[in-house]
Amino acid sequence: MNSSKIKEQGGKAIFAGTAGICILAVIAIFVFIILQSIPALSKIGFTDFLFGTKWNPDANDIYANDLVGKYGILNMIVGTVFSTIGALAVGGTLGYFTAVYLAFFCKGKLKKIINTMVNLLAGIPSVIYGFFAIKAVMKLFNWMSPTGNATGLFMTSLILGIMILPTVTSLTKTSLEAVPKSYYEGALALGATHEHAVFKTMVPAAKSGIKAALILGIGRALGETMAVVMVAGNSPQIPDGLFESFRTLTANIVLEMSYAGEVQMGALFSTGAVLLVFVAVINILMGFVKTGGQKTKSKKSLPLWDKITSKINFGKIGKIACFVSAVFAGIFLVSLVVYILIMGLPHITGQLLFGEFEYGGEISILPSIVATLMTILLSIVIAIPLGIATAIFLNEYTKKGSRFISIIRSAVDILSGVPSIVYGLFGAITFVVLLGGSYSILAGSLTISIMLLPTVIRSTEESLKSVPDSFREGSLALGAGKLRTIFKVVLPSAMPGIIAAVILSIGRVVSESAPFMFTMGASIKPMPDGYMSSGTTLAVALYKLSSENLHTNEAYATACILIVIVLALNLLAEWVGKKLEKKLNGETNGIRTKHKRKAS
Amino acid sequence: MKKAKKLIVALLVCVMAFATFAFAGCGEKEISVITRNEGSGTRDAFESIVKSDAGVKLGDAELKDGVLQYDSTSTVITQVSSVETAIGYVSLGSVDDTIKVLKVNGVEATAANVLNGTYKLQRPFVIMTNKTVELQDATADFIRFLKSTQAQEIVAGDYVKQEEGAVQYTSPSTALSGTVVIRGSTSVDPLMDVLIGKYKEINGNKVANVEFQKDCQGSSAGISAVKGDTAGNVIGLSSSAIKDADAPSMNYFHIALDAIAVIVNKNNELSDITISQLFDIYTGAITKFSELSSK
Amino acid sequence: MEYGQNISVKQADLYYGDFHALKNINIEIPAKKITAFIGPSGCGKSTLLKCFNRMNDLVEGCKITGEFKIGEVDIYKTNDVNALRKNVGMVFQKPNPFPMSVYDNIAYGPRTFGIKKRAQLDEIVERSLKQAAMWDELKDRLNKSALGLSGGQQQRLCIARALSISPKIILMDEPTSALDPISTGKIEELCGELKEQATIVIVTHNMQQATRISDKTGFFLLGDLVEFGDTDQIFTNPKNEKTENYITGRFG
Repeated sequence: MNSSKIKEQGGKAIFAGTAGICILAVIAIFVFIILQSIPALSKIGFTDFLFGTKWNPDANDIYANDLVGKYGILNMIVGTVFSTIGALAVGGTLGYFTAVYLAFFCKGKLKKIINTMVNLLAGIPSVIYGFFAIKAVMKLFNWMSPTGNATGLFMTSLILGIMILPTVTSLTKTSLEAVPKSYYEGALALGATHEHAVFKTMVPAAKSGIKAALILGIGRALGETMAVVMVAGNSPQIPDGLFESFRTLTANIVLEMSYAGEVQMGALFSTGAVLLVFVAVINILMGFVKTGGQKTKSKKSLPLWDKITSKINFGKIGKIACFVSAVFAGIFLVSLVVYILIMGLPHITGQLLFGEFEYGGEISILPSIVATLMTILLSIVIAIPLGIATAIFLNEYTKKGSRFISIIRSAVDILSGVPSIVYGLFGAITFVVLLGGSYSILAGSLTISIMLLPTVIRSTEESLKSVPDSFREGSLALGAGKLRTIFKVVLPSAMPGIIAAVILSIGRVVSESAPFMFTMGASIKPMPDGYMSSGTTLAVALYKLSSENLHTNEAYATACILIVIVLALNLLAEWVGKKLEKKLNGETNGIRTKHKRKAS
Repeated sequence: MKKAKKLIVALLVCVMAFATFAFAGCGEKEISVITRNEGSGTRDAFESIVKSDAGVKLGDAELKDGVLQYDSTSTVITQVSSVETAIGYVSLGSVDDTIKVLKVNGVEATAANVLNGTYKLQRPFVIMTNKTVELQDATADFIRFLKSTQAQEIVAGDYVKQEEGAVQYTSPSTALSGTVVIRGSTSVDPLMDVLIGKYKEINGNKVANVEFQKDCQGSSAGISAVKGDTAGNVIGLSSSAIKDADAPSMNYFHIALDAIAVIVNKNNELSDITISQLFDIYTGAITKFSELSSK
Repeated sequence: MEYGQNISVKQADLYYGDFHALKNINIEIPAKKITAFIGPSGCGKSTLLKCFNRMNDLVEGCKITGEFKIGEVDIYKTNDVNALRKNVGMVFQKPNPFPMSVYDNIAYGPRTFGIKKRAQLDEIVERSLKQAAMWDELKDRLNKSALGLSGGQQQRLCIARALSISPKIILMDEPTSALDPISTGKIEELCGELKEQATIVIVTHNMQQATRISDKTGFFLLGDLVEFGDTDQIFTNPKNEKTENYITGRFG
């Protein structure tokens, strides 16, 4: 009896401990980034830094001397805000309408196809988006620009918009589908048309969920780095036209990080700190949206507005907009995939895939494949158990409304909003330093593990929540302890969600590049001989291969491979999900055949 | 509320469309000026060579607002290849047939013209080590190789060789081991790949235990890595001449010369440009290609 | 100390936060009989039932005072809730088979208490299913998911699952409220057979059901145990006026 008690208590302690690790991670990120930025901020001057409009750093500036360079990031803050608004205008609108289309106007095969496409869009590495944008999309818009060069605010908004579309769409769709069907039936019973019922009844009911989706989209747009660097133009000025070049905060970090001098480095960390403030603000906004949803809303509307809007048949227009959005997203994805495949497939060779790496010889990405696999393996081994344990603690062991829990929840939310480049900065000053100052796969894996945590925790928690309480009661009533209940009944029931989280995480590791460049290294390298070797993941290799214009074909081929992996992961996720669902609800086969024979 | 939002969105789209069409109006477009990111050796060299008629270095002048900055050669080339009004500059070794290389001051960018000094936009590839620490055996041996005639043979393949003082390299008498850390210029990176390959080929088993850790993210990163070297195994690569401020703390030599090619779109009729015109374009005094031909 | 088959409650009070849900309950539930709890919704009958295997522990802010004895054991003084629940099984209002095979559902309880041998488990599964009169129906689909069964079958499977650990007492919380009349009939029949080996306490909304199967009946109202006695007596000759009003359908 005592031993079982100890086991239960020990289990609880372990779960609580992992939850604590999440809080620690958030605190560590904030503390380290801010600590690194304080000297620079005090040297440059807080207001000069935030409100200065000149960014002209000098790599020779050190804290001991007077500053030669100029370090004002106001233009970049404005640039970030502009591009985020632009991305929201494109991605928010498209994503919203696509979601409505998927939820209410689309059935059967088509729905499945569009769903898969949206998921695919989410998984494509941002490096590929950037690559595609400057190689292909740009040509469509060059004629519009006064300089004949479409890069700048417009292109960035467009690409970022497409990149946040999946986030907005899937979250909006989820909240639309959570609206009780009875609302819809009620509206129809009152004589409303399908369109009217959708836009007047269902959509308003999902309002707070849609707002949350848009805010998450903003977070994603804000933190995007690699694609933005390729299409924004990067001059540190305030863009005064749609085709004017500008620089975002994230781009500033990735552009200058690798050669920054002492003060400049501090200024870059300060840039990271500003990004963290943005994230915090977004989280606070999110909190408002969540609590604001319950409040009674006093609807203020302008009479003129109402007059105009009542004249327009929104149902029809909305339906058309929905269709157009979904088609647009589909066309973009298909053209991206087809373009990359056409350019890359012919260049996938045995040498590229399996050849031995030789300095100066033909390119082989085998070392990158191995490095990617090593990173996936280690980060999954770290992040999945930690994430699941934290989710278990949050969902199974805690009382509602406890202070501790709300702290952990907001910690997780903040973690999920931190831009990947900031994780890169964090990894560079913690793990890289701890591991002796040189780049290593270990440092990269640790960095990405922290980044994966929120995703794993969130989706595990969601699937734990969906396990009915009656299962838990049933198990406890049979005399099973809490641990046994969790491991034997609750977790297996939540398995589809957890597997989905694992696959999602793998996709993330494959497609991220910003967190790896300053932790794992960024040169194409020989085969890693352990976790202490440096290495490049495939996405970083793609970036690197394309950058000197010497291996463009190999870059296309690598992009191809990445897309194929993303596609495969998506299909795998779908297949596993279906399989497990079936197993839980319908048939469980093959395990007890022995008994069956005996019984019959 | 939803209606209002949708209307706003629709309006926004209209405004954007209208604005773009208005912009797209007739007339000659402005030059789309492209440079590299700060910290790039290529940019550093370009800005120290390009001068105004009055002798002001581009590096000391202020670039015009909105010059596009990219952190990779390929982005510059891709942009120039798809934008008719673009101008940029890249290492001659990276040039491909999607773009057109301009003559500078009437001189074509070729190896011969770089070597005889008539092509002005040239810069050295520099190999650096820390002066204050003693180099480890493996690192010292590799440096010996880099200074050799065998290395120069490879350099001659794609770049302009730097003849002075090259001697024949001979394999070390005993096997070496250790780590050689290489940091710095992305432009020198591809050349270094080939050189390491050759070094391994010449020495075979003798250097099987020498591990090369090469990670190139920019010339300035190479300079600071060499300055911070305490173990005696860091080799820095720079794609522009070493500044006076940095010179005292390091040993360095030029392994090759490289031309910086000024590139424009293939459809651009321009074929020749002067150094001072480049200065005017990058500082904003000249905004259209037609202004060049009229001058 | 041994768990017995009779339940003895003395001066029990239960609060959910500030809400006084059970007021000074005293009741003696005899061994190997069927005892029914009746009363309008919210009267506390289910709450009292859940005290017997301490399922109320899961409810936040629940406070219990008084003495609850099962045989010799004062169940709120013991530390080992799991042993308590091994002796006091429970069947819930809605069937709640686990999302696993029929076999694993029934083997879940024995495995919890350390039985791992296949032969032994096979035997328990067969015995439990036979006791629940389901063996013939299910012997060929032991490996199929329990979620594929009909509602009535699922509920009987849950009874079989409860039987798998040979409880001395079985608590049933409105076990037939979600079922059709035929399934209900089967479960009532089953209860009659089970009382030969176990004490059964059943909460029901259906007064006919109480008269059909129970030996003893307790009537609850607003947290009070208004009347407790032989079922015949309660339904034919209630001592309390409120009981009479309720069973004659004047309120409730």
